[in-house]
Amino acid sequence: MRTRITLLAMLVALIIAVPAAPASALSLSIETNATLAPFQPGQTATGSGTLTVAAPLGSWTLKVQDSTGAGFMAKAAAGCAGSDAQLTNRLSVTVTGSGVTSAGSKLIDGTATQVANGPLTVATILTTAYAQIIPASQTMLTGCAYTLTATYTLQ
Amino acid sequence: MSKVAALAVGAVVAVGAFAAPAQAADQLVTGTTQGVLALTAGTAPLFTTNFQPGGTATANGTMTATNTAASSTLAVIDNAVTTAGKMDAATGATCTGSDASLTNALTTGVTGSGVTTSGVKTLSGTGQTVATAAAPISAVVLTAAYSQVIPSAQLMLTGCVYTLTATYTLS
Repeated sequence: MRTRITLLAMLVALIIAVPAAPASALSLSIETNATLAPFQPGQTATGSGTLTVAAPLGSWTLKVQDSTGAGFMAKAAAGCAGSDAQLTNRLSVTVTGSGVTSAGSKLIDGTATQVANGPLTVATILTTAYAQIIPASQTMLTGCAYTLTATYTLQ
Repeated sequence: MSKVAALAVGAVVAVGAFAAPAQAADQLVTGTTQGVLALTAGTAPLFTTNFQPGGTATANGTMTATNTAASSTLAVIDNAVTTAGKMDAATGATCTGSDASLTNALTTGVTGSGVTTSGVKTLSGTGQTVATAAAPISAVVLTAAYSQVIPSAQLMLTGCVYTLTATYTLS
């Protein structure tokens, strides 16, 4: 009888503990944002950011999308008189990291695209290497800032 | 005892089936436009017809301009020391007996998408604005239309080559 009660107590404890586990099973955080250079007509601007991925319960998949601009960098509201509203070409990104399988260079658009996957990890730092091809005919005012928010999803 | 064991197994299975929620994070990518000021000469103008006494010869040249500044000015000048604005005869036997330079100065007018022409200008040793832009320009192809009026009294040997170097400055 005492054994049965002990087992039941363990079972109850287990059931209570279960809902708390998934909340910390996957973790994705931005470490640094990315700044591109040389950012001017006729150049390919590049820059890198970093992410940290934690998936202590199993393998993971990382996807990226731009739900606002569909992959096109857009000019700021101020300081951009006469500049093109958005760049002609889509931004591309390559995600790499130790022990990570990269999907290679991917053009960012409005739908989620897989950029990397990997095995169980406590914390892996990923590098997001961006490249932006800017045509020579792109009209841009000196000092005008173009931005894009890349949304990464870890599953 | 066996009933308890069965309950425990059921709980373990339930744990394994619980999917962890996806995590999302936003990374900001920024580029700030760097200054570019570039002017490249394209097709050189060549007078192929009417380049003779009493004729008016015309020809077009091209340039490609980029300026990320808020406005641009294109100016032209002929830096020749003694005959600024006038086409000079080549040296040597091919121009024997020809006037050393043409009587009239060369004229040019510059046009292009996104720029405002300043009209036809007579070349000289002083810089003159030939076009302006009130917004950034990128890889704009500019056309310089040249015209040379040659008086009937101009002495020119057949085959004699006359030249002038027009220097354009984008700022």
